[in-house]
Amino acid sequence: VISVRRAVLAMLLLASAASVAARSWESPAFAANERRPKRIAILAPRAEMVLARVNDAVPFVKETALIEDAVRAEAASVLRGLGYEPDVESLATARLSADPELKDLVTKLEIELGQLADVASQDPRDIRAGRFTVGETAAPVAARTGADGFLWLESQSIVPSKGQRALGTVMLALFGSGGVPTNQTSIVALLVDGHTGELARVSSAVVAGAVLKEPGPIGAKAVRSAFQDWPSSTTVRKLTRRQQRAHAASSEVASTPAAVAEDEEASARAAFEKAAAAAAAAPADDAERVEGRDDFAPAGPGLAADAASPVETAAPVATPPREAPVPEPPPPPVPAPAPAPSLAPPPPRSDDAKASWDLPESSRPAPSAKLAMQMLPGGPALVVRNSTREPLRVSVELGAFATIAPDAEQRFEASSGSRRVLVVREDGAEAARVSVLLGPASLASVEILPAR
Amino acid sequence: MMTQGLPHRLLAAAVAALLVAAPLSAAEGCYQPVPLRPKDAELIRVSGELEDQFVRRGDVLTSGPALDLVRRVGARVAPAHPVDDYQRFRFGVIDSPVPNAFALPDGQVYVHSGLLAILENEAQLAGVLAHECMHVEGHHGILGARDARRKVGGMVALSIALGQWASLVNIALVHAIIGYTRDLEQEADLRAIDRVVEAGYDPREMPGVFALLDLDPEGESVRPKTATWSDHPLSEQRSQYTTQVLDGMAARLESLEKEGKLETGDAGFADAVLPLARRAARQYLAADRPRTALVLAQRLVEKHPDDPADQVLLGDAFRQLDARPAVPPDTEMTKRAKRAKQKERATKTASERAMQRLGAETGKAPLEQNRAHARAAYEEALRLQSVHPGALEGLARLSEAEGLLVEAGHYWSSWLESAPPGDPLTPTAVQHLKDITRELNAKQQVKP
Repeated sequence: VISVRRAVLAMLLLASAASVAARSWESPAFAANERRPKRIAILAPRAEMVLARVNDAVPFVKETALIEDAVRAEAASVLRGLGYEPDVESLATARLSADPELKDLVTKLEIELGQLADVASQDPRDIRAGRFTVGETAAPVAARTGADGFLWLESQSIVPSKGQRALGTVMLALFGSGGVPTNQTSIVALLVDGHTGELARVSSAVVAGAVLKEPGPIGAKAVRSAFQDWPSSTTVRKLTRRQQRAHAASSEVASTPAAVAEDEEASARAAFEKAAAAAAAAPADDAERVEGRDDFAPAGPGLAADAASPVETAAPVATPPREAPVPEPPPPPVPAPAPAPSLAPPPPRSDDAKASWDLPESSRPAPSAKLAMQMLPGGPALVVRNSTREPLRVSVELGAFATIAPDAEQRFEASSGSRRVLVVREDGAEAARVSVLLGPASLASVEILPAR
Repeated sequence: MMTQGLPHRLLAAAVAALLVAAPLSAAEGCYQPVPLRPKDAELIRVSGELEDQFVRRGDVLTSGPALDLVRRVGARVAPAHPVDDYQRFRFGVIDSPVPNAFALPDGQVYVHSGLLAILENEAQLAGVLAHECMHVEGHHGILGARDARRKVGGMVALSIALGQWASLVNIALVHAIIGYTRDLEQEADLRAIDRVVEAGYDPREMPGVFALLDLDPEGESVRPKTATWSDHPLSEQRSQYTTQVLDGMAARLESLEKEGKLETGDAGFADAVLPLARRAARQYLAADRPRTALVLAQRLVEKHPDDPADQVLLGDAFRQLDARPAVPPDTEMTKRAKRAKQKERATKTASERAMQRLGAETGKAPLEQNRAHARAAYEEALRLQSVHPGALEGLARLSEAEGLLVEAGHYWSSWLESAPPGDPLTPTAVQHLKDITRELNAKQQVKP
């Protein structure tokens, strides 16, 4: 309850800070108003107040509650006046107590922010270089609260006792060093960008005043002092050349939106399936990927080991999902060159899927079919549909071939992981092949289409 | 006016010697009523206000099986009739991963969730709570504050008289104050043994608590080799003197055990503290202390091998270890290395420290091992529960870290399939998927 050491440390800190009344540092993106949070949720402020006596220190607890309330209210008021939308409700203690999931997210954010604040206090100027970030920790809190920024406030007040002041006076008179301690309240405010996790602004202030008599007003005064040069929501500051350089370097920072529409999610998944299929068709990528995995010798079902065999099909095309409309997908990757007609005679028909799969590339005919894939919920399983005009034989994970008639489909049960799909014609010539990565709840819908 | 010269030096040395010698006469608590002086009353008032503050700030648990457990065990070890009317025993749980417990002079006793997470049974908890009760019953807080005030007051007077020699007195002062506190800690340990027995718990579980408190999985705790500059006795000492007392009670304890009057209280303990243990492990991960999280996760997996949530926690701990060996090597355990690590924490961000580790040649082997362990744990979680969002997220992040973009994308895609609508991680998952897609497309673009 009583810590002499803490009181002494706080006094030293305040004494060193006293020469600077208020300071602030901003990230270039904040200053230029390119990434400036507008809807700011205020994290529960933390205040400490200590009566520093000659031979001990006593914390003031009730008064800290008044300071915390005043600091929160004043910060909201100042921000509102500047055109921002402060939010004092979403992260209030009562709200968090009723919502354990949000509480967990906020606790994580506060822990990381607390550590970041310690490092940032060493050299806050580095905020201009985008050095301080909590990464993706802020994004889920932003998603839950709808805020795009979070304000973290911490205040400390020292109230020297009469004895302490008298001692200071005596020491000054006797040794000419030290000074007479006075009431001091310091505050530190950190603004975190909810989308990027970057520290957008750091400000601090030290104010004097009878904090014991008027804890609320002094807390509010400290906030006003720390926020005195906070720009309005529309102000665009002119960046110095140095800031511009830093801004250019940090403009690529990953940003996560607070919410995504359902069709955006489906669109992202469809675009990925398309890109993944294109990547699977590129032997060089597969080679790199397999090399990477082999290094790690992972336990459990291998997801990449199957990808060792180059895929000869044309790039599979993701078909739109059944349940949600898909907006225009991103530009498609460069299409694979059209397969050249093979002059080599087709290999003899074989029922051994493994032997067919293992045929060297030079011995295989050019693909006569292409595979379109779509990942759906369900499974893990594959449903293969033959949309060509000839019956085709299909092997999943090098199992027995199953013949699928034109316009017919067949379901193949499979466990999660990478599964090989081999399609051959009735004469045994390979038509297409692909590796499909099945999630534990993925149903791969594979459609066999004519190559042209 | 500067005060120098031999008489002053001698005076300073004498006073310092006196203060150093002060703790040699062991401090004792007072288990009789202690009338409050004005400054003691202030302490009691502040204690009451702190109770309100803990609730107001959401620092304490307000419900749940762990709180019920602590209150039930606390009621058994607390005195039926406190000797002073300002003492009213009540027990709470502070939501903090740091393994600790404390008492306030008005009878509030708190145990941190991080301590509950590592205790093994009710008897150990009873030992902790009984120790804290003894601090209250023996008025240790009040007496300790009085002692500190007296010594600091003397120090101030001497400082004025001695000028530059005051620093010598300062050192002696710190030594004297913490020596007093250390004695009271030992007293609480020893008296707690009898209380634990009276409450029907097996006190032989108590020495194990000191070993648990001494755990330092991160290898960052710089501990003194002697207790001289510590306000608590060293854990080995505490374990040693409690074991000595317990050995002396062996016959009595065996007899009580045969009569069925001693219990360890294993049943239900692990289940009651399970959510706290998981939460503490998550908090350690947030604080970039994955070795501690790993120890907690391994204990959880040992107790609940079929729980996919614990497997995911284990995977997350291994993943966050990245290039750190799971157990700190000897080179990390020197005092200098520990101090360097502490300094690094204060001056570098978590991502800067990670980049430094990942760039080091020595980190390659642990990195491979940790990633393999993480993958195995996630895959085990998926085996136990075919769709587990935490495992899918872990595998997605792990695959991304390994540069396996396609694989990572599939896992994120599966995560999106399985996530409930409105999950707060959804925007992050979509963003990852978009970034992966962009990167895959870019790779295709640059190919001839």
